[in-house]
Amino acid sequence: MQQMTQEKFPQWLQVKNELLLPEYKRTWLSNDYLEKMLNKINNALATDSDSFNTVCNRAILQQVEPHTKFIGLLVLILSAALTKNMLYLVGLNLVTFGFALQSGIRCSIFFLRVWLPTIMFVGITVLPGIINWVTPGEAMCIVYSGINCNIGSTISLPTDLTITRQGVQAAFFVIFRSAASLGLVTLLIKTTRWSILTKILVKFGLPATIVAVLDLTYRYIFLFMILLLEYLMGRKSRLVGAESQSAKIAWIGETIASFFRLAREYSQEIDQAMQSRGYNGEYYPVSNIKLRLIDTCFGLVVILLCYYAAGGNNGWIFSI
Amino acid sequence: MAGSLVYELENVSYSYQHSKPALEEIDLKIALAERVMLLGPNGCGKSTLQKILAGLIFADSGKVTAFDRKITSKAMSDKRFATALRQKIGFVFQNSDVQLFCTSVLDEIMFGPLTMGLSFSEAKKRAEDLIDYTGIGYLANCSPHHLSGGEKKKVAIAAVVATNPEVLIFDEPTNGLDPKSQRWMIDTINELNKQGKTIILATHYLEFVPELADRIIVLGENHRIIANDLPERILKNRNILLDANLIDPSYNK
Ligand SMILES: Nc1ncnc2c1ncn2[C@@H]1O[C@H](COP(=O)(O)OP(=O)(O)OP(=O)(O)O)[C@@H](O)[C@H]1O
Ligand SMILES: [Mg+2]
Repeated sequence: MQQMTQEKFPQWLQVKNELLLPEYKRTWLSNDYLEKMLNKINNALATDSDSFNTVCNRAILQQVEPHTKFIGLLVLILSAALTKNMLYLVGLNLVTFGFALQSGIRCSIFFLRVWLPTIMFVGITVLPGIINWVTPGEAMCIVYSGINCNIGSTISLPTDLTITRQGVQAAFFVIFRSAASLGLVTLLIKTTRWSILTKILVKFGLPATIVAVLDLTYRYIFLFMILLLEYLMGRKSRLVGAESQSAKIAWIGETIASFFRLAREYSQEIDQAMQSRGYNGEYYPVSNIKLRLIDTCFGLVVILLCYYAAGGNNGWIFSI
Repeated sequence: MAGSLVYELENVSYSYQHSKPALEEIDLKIALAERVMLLGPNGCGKSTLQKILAGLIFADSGKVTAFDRKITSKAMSDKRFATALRQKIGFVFQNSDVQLFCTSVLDEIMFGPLTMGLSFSEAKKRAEDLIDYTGIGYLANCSPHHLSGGEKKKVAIAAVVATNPEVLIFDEPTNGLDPKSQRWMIDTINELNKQGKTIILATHYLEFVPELADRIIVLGENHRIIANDLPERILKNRNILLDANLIDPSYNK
């Protein structure tokens, strides 16, 4: 038997490849950009879902009962939307930031998640609102005054351009409201396990199918990302020669095709596996809610903040 | 003697995500034609270490030397260097699906030899030899994707071996194989080793240790090497085996 294998063993496999590795030449080009990009996306996603685990145990928000936290933060978001108290908004932003730091969310991430989008999207859209053409009012700063400026024969610009106190105030409100809401949502997402969050969303009335799709998409993205990375590596490990340009182009098509095939095969299997475990698109709510001291304290803080939001001479938006 | 060292790793660490290490401070030497077995619990980093050895991912810190050259992402972005290294190292993945991409088994096995620059007839000869050797002649014209798990594994091995690499890395090669195919796998690996190939193999199965390993490296749940010794000594050390989840506490010997 042993003799048989010996005979069948291909001759060329016994040849030794004794070539030394060449010295490598420095190149600035790196051709694994696709992999690098995928890795980055993968890491960003993974950081989101895993942030819960890496956070220190002292974090307050991680310990608050998820339902309480969900309602509490929702109330705070509402208070931010309704309040007319600028000081409160600034304070709320500071409190949110404080909680973020305490929950182990890094400054840079908080900035990226909250302030960058706020400034980019909201800032740009509300910025025109600060001038007197859009928001009339008391001038804070005069850009020009008493100049007649005509464009063509039909359009004439107003004679004054000033930045108004009311305009600036309105812009600040919009920006700080958005930042506070985004910050609170970030806190919620970053301190609650995804699986729990989706179940709470179902409980609070979001249709189960939407949540199920959300949940599955999230899982699939991970799985396929890792699968795609492995696939790229699997192929790379077998690339033992230079490829022609045409082969490379063909490869892109091939990769997409193979990957879709793989993805389909896998999703079929996942689906079958889930069905065999009794999954039918429904979620079961989280059972036994136990409120502890920390939850009560959290609730009190929320109520206190709301009281402040409503208090003073700048009360709720409705009070006028 | 110095020339017979294939790998030298110094203080190598790697993590996929911040603050969640997959490998920590790995020091390791692997000699030519050695059979090294990686053992350890799930998630300890065996596959990750193998990918680093194959030059597919790169250490975050520390030094990886293979065949007297430093393996870095810079070095690997030089095509000539990368090609030479890939010819020397073959890697059989844990999941064969990700490694097969051609439309027929024959094409799959010929892919390596052809990209290496062999002529069509030479490549075909190699593929036929391997198909004979692995006994998968009846599959030669099938699409690799419609095969069973065990058949895919055989095709993947044939496809990797076809370029005649010096180092062969196997990630859990016996998983999902029936006993007869497992036996075939072990004999094949040992046969390849007899021809002077270096074998680096990850597994959970202790029963293969005596016939497949010259040396054992055990990775712990802390992603570090907790033992690096001869098989006889590791097999006798119950504490290490327990640590690495290779036996359960009720196991007695
Ligand atoms: N693509 C990836 N992205 C993020 N983390 C990963 C990835 N691959 C592996 N990991 C993590 O790295 C660690 C080591 O994984 P690795 O696959 O090397 O383990 P292993 O020893 O091969 O386990 P097994 O015995 O289950 O195959 C694990 O904690 C795993 O969660
Ligand atoms: Mg593995």
